[in-house]
Amino acid sequence: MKLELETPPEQKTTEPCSTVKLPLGLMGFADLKELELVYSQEELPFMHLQQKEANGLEFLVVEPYGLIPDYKVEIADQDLEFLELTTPEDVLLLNIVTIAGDDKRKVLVNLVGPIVVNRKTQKGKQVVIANYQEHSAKHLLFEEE
Amino acid sequence: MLVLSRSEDESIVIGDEIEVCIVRIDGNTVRLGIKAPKAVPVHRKEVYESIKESNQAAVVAANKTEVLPQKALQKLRDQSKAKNDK
Repeated sequence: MKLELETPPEQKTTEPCSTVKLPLGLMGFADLKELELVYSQEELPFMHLQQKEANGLEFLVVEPYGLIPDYKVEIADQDLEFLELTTPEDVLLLNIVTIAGDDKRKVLVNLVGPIVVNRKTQKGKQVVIANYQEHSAKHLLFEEE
Repeated sequence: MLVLSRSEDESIVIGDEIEVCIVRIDGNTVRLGIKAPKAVPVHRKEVYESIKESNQAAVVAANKTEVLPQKALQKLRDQSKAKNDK
């Protein structure tokens, strides 16, 4: 399936706090089976994907719509089957952000391994996009001057 | 590491549910067919490693919440505002 995500399929607001179930964890973090997606208006487009426990781990994520020009995502059939996804409207796409550098900070986005979530079931998986050769795991979104 | 010799159209099985078949050998390239349950992710190693490294660089402990670069926030907001105004 090809998803062209320059504009959202249909503008759906994500709840300020919702659960993402990750039966397979994240790559390199197999134990992270359930995370909370939390955001505040002041920090958008950045959102937090974090463990429920106090002092848990957390990732910064973004929805790529409108942020990353020419970002098109192809999801392999076995991933769609695993997530029981049949229509693009049910897809919540989250890309993990890294803030790198101490002095001049850079905001990098992983476009190759997004977390794909079924909005209806909250089941998610970090997938390797089928068109992984077209995108970078360290896309530069912003660099301080 | 277990090392086995296989020819085209031959397979190996791993446990009860995983089968790796040699589909074609063409010079330096071997084409593999992999049958595995949906819950067993199969990845090209270098792509998997790049995502794993990226995850490890991205993770922050929730108690020392990453301070977002305010300039980045401002710039991204201005961009999306400009888009909406169009």
